[in-house]
Amino acid sequence: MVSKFSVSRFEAEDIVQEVFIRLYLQYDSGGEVEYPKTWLYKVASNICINTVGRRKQTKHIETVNELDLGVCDSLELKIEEVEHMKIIQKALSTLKEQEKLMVILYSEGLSYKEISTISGVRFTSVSKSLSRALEKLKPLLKTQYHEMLNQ
Amino acid sequence: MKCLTNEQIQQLIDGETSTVDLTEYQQHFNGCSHCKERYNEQMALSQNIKELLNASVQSPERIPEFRIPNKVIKPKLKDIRIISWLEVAALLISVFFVWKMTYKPEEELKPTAENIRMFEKCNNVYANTATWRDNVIIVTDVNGIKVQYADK
Repeated sequence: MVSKFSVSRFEAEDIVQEVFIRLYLQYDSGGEVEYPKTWLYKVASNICINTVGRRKQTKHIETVNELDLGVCDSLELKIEEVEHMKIIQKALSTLKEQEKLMVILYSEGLSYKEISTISGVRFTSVSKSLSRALEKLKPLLKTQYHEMLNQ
Repeated sequence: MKCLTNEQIQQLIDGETSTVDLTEYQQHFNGCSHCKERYNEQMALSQNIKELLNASVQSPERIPEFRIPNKVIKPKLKDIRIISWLEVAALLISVFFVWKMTYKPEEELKPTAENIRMFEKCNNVYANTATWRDNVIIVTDVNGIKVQYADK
């Protein structure tokens, strides 16, 4: 889920670590987590949104390409993964923050109730907001694919 | 029944429709090819987006290994008890010595008859009267100045 927010692998690792540290601290301080699954998703999505938001405010001197770092296993996989990521991330970036979160949670196979709890959208509005967000993505993904094929 | 909204179709795709609505929608689909087509389209779109998003997920570089120890050596309970008793004894001895070194009992006040008489005399005198001075005789001898009371 974390890597679906346009974060790098290294950022994703840090975020996941942060999430589990918070979970540990929550239990350590005697707090209870009623629904660990939604709790983890909620904390992770909050950190992701903060990370992406913070990144927008800072300027990167140099962007390190993950391809150059040889992080992925094979070259084919690398290119395919990167292309997929580019298309979907470009399309997702046009959505509002909450819509983006809902689509990501939806792709995780979560129920409407879980999506509602994590994103803060009313349960009755989940299907409406979700169908709208998916409709918005439809033309964007089509044009993205066409652009990619033309290249 | 009216044609289904996008919201209703989405609920149907995601299995979030109630049983009552489900039968109603199915009956509607039998008579409305337009809605059925929309349903198929929306279904394909939802699946495509899901697949695309999940395909973009990078597999983790490494999963940290957790090595479970084969044999766990538990400390002997008897040893622990002896050690803890020794620790308590050492602590108590050191506390006792510190207390002994620092504690000084207050000196008991043992006034002599002279002290008591002097105290009473001084306290019975009014400061503004010369009575006290009259009762005192100052005697000087080789040892220095001495105060003597007239009634002595």
